[in-house]
Amino acid sequence: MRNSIAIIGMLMALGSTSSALAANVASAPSTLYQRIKLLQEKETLDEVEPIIAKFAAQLISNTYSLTFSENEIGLAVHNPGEFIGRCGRLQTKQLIVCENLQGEIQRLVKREQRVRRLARDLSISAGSYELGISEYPGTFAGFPTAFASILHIWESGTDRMFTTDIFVNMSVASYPEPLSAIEAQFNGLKTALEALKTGVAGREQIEELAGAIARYRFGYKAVAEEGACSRNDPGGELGLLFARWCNVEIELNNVWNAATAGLPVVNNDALVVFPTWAYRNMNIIVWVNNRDAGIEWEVPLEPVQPRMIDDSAYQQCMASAGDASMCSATFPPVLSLGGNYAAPPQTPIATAGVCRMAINTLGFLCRTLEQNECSVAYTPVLDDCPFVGNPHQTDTDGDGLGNSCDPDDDNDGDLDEADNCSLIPNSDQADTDGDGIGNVCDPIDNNSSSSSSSGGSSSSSPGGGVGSIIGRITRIFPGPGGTPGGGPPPPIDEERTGSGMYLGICIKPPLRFPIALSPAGPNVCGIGGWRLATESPTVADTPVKQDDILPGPCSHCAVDFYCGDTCPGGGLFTEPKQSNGLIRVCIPPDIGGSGSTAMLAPLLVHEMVHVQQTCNQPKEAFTGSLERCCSGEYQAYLAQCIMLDRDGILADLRYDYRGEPMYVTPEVCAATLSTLSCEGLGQCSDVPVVPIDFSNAVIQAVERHKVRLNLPTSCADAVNRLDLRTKSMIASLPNVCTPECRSEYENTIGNNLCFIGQCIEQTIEEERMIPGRMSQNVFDEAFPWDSCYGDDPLANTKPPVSSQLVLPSMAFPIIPEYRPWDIAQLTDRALCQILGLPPRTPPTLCQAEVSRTLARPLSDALDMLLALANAVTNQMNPAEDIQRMTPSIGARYATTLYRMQVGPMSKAYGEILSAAATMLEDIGSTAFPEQLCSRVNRICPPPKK
Amino acid sequence: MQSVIFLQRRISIRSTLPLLCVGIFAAISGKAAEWQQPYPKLGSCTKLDTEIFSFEHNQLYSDCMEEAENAADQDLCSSLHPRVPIPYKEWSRIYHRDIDNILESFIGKEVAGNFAQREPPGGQGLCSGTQAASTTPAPPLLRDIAKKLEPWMKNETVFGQSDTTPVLIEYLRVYECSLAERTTRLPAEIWREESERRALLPGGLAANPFFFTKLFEEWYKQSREIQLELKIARPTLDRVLGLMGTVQMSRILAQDTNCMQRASLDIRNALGLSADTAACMPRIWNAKDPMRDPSVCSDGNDNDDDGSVDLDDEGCESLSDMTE
Repeated sequence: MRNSIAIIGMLMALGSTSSALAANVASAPSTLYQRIKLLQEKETLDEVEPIIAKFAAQLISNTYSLTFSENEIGLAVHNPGEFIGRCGRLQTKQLIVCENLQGEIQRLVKREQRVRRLARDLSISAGSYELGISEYPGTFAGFPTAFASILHIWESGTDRMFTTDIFVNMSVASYPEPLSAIEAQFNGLKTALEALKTGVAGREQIEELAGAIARYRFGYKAVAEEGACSRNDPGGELGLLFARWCNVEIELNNVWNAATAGLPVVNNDALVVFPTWAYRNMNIIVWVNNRDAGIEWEVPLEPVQPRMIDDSAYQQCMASAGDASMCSATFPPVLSLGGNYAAPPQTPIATAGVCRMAINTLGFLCRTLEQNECSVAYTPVLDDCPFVGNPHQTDTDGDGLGNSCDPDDDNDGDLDEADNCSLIPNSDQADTDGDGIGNVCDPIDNNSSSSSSSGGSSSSSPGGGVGSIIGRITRIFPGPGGTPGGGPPPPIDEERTGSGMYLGICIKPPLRFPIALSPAGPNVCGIGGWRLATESPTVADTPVKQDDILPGPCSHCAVDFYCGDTCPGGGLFTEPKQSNGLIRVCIPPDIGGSGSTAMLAPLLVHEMVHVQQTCNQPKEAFTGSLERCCSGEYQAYLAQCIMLDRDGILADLRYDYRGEPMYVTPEVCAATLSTLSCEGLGQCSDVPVVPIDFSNAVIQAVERHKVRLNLPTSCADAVNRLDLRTKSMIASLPNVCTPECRSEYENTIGNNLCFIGQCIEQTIEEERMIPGRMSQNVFDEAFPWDSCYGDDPLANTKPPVSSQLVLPSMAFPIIPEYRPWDIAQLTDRALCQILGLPPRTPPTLCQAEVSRTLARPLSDALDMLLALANAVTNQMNPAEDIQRMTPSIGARYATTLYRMQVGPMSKAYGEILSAAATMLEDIGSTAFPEQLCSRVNRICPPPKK
Repeated sequence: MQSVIFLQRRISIRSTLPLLCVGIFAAISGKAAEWQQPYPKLGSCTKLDTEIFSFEHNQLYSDCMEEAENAADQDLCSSLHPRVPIPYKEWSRIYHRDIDNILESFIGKEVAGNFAQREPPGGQGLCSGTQAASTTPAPPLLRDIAKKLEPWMKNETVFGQSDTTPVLIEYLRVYECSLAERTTRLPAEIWREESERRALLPGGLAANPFFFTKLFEEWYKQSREIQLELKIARPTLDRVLGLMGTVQMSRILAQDTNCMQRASLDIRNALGLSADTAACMPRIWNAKDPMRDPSVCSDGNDNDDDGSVDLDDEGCESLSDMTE
């Protein structure tokens, strides 16, 4: 009786629990807490995640040729008696085997659940750090917008040519309510995303969805550029990170088309919208701007988990053939036993992934920010591997050659390819256990009694892990007291080097010799355009030669673009300035007979630099010698290459250098092309690629992007539709500080300094009472914010002793690249520590013991399961330790993420605030005259009686 | 509590013995579930902990109890300020609702119902003085929760964002203690509650042959629910606190950035003034400019070739007057 009561009670209770669970799942969570709680319930309730059940069933099938359903795997975990009964009755007829199987399955499932739970913990911890630096959804604690604003406020006018107002107009609009214009497209996208969720209600799996979100997080167009979509899933454990979901891409494309056509606000430059009403219950945000569209978790709770069963071949077969029985027979699912990360993700290049986001392309995440560290230009630590992207500047042996470029990283005489421990010197190449890993790198050197000490000793290996961030500093302005030109670098001296914000482009050119970088005449802001066009030209420029375009009273020159059948040199050509100030630029029908007209747009920027140069100095200043040619051409190509970089062209150039992918920086691009231009006189630079090949590759890349960028289709089109940057340069030709001349510019600190600098320079050059008796050197390079100087006779040879306008340093630090796999590495290290292995054990050996056990081939499947069982027991405590360490690992990741910039940033803040205080103090203590000068067309001060 | 004891006396030893055995079993299972959740580590339970979820908060009762000196006084407090009991079924809802609201408040209110855009709590913050993120005021709900908890019951603390973690952990501890405590006397509690509702006994015990079946059913169901809550609540809060902690770090950086932005604007504006002044430099340095020699406006010549000598040229107002 008691038994029956108990049974009835349990049954009813079970029923009610199940219904409670169903009710839980049925009500979709609408808040963040509810989502976290639901996640916890799914992990905690007596369920087996379908993917794990499938994995276990497949493993048993492969090993024992016994078939269990996913439900039966669940029974093995939660109702052993019933499982053993079924197993014995239907499968083996041997209860003892079934009992063993049940135990193994239970341990296997619990272990895998633990691993996946840990991954989620890590994801939540790391994801919440990432929210703050994400451009799109990071609204709880986002600072990119403010950061971008600061950069813009400080931006010097010279750089305006290089930035296409990305920051200026960026804003965020949201659409919480359905809009008929795009509702259908958003519903289509939602359907495509929901289709990625598999499993029955309450037991859904979102591996595919998580993968798709990770893939399209930075926009579908970035992914689509990889080629036509055919669900090109590379398979393997990490296959989801590289797979493509064609339906999602199509729907995102529909959304983008509808949004950009239907919502006027999207057509405003660089606007971001977040239409989310259709996705609230999915925790998904959709963003659209005028360049791309993408999807993102609101809060990343579900990471992309390593794949346990690889059915990518089956999926591809289904996509092409659609015959399920044939595909399943031909391409059965393959188990991913773990621990085999053959091809870990690489650091993204500067215009891929997160770096594609507008805010980041200008240096927030993916590029070195413009810094003031010109004063340390002569330190020997520069980019130790200039042609290969090696952001960490890791240089293990400290020989000045980054590991990415160094054939022998540890300098032990054995080249890396043949070195059994490439990062720790071991010239004897000792490898006691013959496993291919040198003893000094091998923590499990079975025949060595001092394995741990050898691993421990590696911690003191030279070089350490991460190179100096100074290595990324590439500006070479010498501060006051620096040594001009060549010569040995002086020691760094805080007192001598000083600091200051310097206007003008001053990134070290990878050229063979010092050059004059700023021969741009009276405009202290150098090349480029920083002013707004204030007056419409009296005569519009047309594609034909015109004689009626003449400089106005405020300018020394005017420019006339014209289309010619042939131009001197075969390409675009800037003619010498005529006596009336007119400078003609001849534009051929295409580039070098290649038929390319798209390239005309960046080349017009190039020619405008020559116009600026020619406007104020004789053309001979840039011709006649290799140095002069390289100086002039490098500047012009630098402007052109920066434009190509900003427009995403350079990222489309794929080169390998010594086996590593080479990111073509604007500097490398400019050095290569200027070498090509000046090849008749010599070689400007030791460039890593053949210049003519590079030039052709650039032309082809520009052609590939001509539709996206709406580039010119003919010479006449190029003249009639000048790029904004070209227009800005034309607008900057007139004088700035002449009283009759109106000058208008965007109110930024940099532009104000441009204006003040130009006024000072212009005043001293044109208005000073007694020329030649000034305390300052009055040639073009005389003033403290002038750009670099060198041995060129056109440049100053004596830097000013002190700066008149020394501003606080703009030492905004580098925010490191987006490297989510760092978490995996940190976890590895933590695992190593927990498992008692030396901290510098190679990561592959530090992976979870489970993975190693699984990956190791065993003679007998039962042995494998037994090994698994032991592994679970062995790992129980370490695994709990890992779980406890999760927040610490997250914090460690965050610390790694932020520590590099927090210190310098606080220094920068301090300096800026200190300088601001000084500046305000100076202003406060300035005795202004009783009468100030009057403005243009206002009444002159009355004469004193 | 009185009513529970009274009710227990009415139940015969014979009928309660098996219930007690099962109750002990359930209590042990509940405790087992509790120690299996390692994080966050919580303190042990006290008698006061169970009150928070048993009765609605009554400040008058709390004040009265604070002054009570003996059991009689405490009984008096109960009679003077009777407290409304909270049904067990509400406990879970209240606890999770409160945490939910705290988290929502922390991440900010939705802008126009759009969860992609939130207004950060505390607005933009101040950039002067010594205001730190820790002093960013916490939402009022946190204070309300804290006032029910023993550590903060008797003082008027001003709660900041940094107090969120200790308050929520204490709230969790109290919640778990309430659940565990209920487990130890679950059958008696169910009996009492069901009797009070008179749902199970329309015609007395004799008329309800399935009474014990229903009792067992409810007992088993609640045991499972409590075990589930004990498994869910702590790791969920652990994740929530982890998320809040990291977001808070980002916010501090964001606040600094905002202040930096404002300082930059001030500097920019100061430099704008400087640029305005610099515009005068050509004229200051021009020997013929009235800025240096105002008499140029009255030299008797037609400096601007406008047909009038400067003395007749009203105020030498034209631009060329100043530069020629």
